[in-house]
Amino acid sequence: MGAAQGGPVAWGTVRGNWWSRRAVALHVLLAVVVPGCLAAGWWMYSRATHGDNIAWVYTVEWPFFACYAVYMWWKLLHDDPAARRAAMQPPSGATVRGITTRPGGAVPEGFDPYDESDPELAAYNRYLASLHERDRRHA
Amino acid sequence: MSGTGVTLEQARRLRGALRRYQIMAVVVGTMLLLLCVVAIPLQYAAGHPGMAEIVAPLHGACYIVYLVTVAELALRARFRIPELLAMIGAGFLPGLAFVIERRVSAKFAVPRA
Repeated sequence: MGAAQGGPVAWGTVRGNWWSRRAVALHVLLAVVVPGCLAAGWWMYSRATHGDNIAWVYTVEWPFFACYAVYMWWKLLHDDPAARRAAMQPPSGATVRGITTRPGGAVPEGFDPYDESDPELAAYNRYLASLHERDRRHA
Repeated sequence: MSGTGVTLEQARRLRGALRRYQIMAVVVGTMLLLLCVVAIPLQYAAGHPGMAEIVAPLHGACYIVYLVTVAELALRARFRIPELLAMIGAGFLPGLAFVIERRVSAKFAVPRA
């Protein structure tokens, strides 16, 4: 979502994304989880072929977990903090509840982003504001 | 403070993801409790494996659906990695699904139906 709005990502950002503390944690998780899932899948396959019919379910399930880990690893790796911050700012010219934002995502004077008339939107806005605050503290 | 506004469409999508996650958390949590409290004691203490043979694969299948809802919500709402791991673990540690579901729902401050 954020990356698509931001256009091409600079090489420095890509390298930073791959070797940041967060990225290394993701690599370590992947390196543990994927072989573990495949080993468990192989074990279940051997049980299934020795007559344990229920093990067929887990023979399918464990490789799925491995694929899931790879998918989440890839998605989380590309969810970099800069794109995350950018996604929290409405793009310039975007329409937020009928109001067109100015360059940089600024909204006109007097615009209340926490309009409580729509509880769904208000709740999500509060949640986004807390994420924004968290990112600022960790930046 | 300004600049954190989002479209109603984004809010709706997130709300939908949250709702799907909540439903699957309750389904998987209930099945796991049923498996651990009723089916497995029946299998090993009473020698009746019939219920475990049905509930165990069913829980496995539901857990896959649960993981898909977790992925959608966690990626959309940009959860931290430990939060994501807690949600994944909640599907196979008995009772944890209900606790984690409450905590996740509380983050959004949306009244529960």
